Amino acid sequence: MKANTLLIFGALCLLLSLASFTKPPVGYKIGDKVADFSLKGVDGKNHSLAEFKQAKGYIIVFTCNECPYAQMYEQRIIQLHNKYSKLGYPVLAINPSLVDYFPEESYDEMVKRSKASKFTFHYLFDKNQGVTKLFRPSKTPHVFLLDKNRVVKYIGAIDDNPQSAAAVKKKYVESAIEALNKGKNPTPAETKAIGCAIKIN
Amino acid sequence: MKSLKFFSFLLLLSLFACTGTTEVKRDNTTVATASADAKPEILTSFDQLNDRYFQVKDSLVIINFWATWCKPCVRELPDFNEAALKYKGQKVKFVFVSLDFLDTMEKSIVPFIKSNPFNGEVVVLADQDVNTWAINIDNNWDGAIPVTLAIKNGKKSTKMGAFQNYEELNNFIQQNI
Repeated sequence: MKANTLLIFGALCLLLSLASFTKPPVGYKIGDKVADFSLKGVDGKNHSLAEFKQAKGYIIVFTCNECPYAQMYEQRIIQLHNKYSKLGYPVLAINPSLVDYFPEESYDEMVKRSKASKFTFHYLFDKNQGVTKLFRPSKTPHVFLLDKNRVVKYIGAIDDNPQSAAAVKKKYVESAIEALNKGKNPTPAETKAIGCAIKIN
Repeated sequence: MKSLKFFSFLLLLSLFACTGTTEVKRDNTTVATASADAKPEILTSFDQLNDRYFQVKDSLVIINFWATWCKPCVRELPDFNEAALKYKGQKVKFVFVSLDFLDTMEKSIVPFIKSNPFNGEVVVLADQDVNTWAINIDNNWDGAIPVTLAIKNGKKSTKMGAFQNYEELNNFIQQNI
């Protein structure tokens, strides 16, 4: 009995010490260099950062089909891509959803959504959340702006008014791109916004 | 807020109505019409929320940020209602701050409140500039809901994400009461 108790006590201590060393996983922060990835787009082909040879930067947007916030920003994401891909900053949208929990976010549904909303950018399916786990976005939509060296320069919201594009006062992503274009670091480098929480396995 | 209290009273009435005499049923009809008009109050700036609920003296205020479109938020609401019933008569106030969209309120929060009674105040926060007010919730909060605050005499605790179950919520209340 005594030996058993000791064993259990020992196991508990081990568990506790392990717990104190296991910090919650952290995603890319400002200044981190992002690893390239290759994900299947709604056009059926795989896409990576490397294919944009002339890119001055990349607008990575974690977004999805059914989140009301993501839907409110669809047109604004299209506009970002249309305006800035010509200037060397393409949008790459990534759906981070776990399809087991959210069947409405499957690859087929993504294809439908991109057609219905006439997406002009690559909308990529992160099947096993491999890329999502590296970035660790907390909600959709969630933007990571990278410079041409794939270093994270801005993280957060597209602008300061989800519900009304007309009432926007601060266009965070646009200002951040303009700063990058001038060789400066964006301010603010990070912003907060409401969105649909992303469940990461 | 008076209208909400009245609304809860009507909902209670409707519960009694389940016993079913014709007379009570007539009351039940009144319930439907009255609750159809029940609209939560809209706060246009975070300051209004702050003035009203963050500065309360000698009571614990539990503020839950939610929305009808947020699945984990909706899932934890019954636990909040259970807690609100348990702490009734004690110095604990429950506030449900909805982040639903103003232009779709008639289709979202209005019918939701009608079919899911709240044991507490419900307000809609329409302040869109989250980046400015997020810091008042918690330094580390980046906007994902649900998020719940416990405030007592200016001292604040935060729970980011949903409570796993009633026990976890109750512990959170106990730690801050």
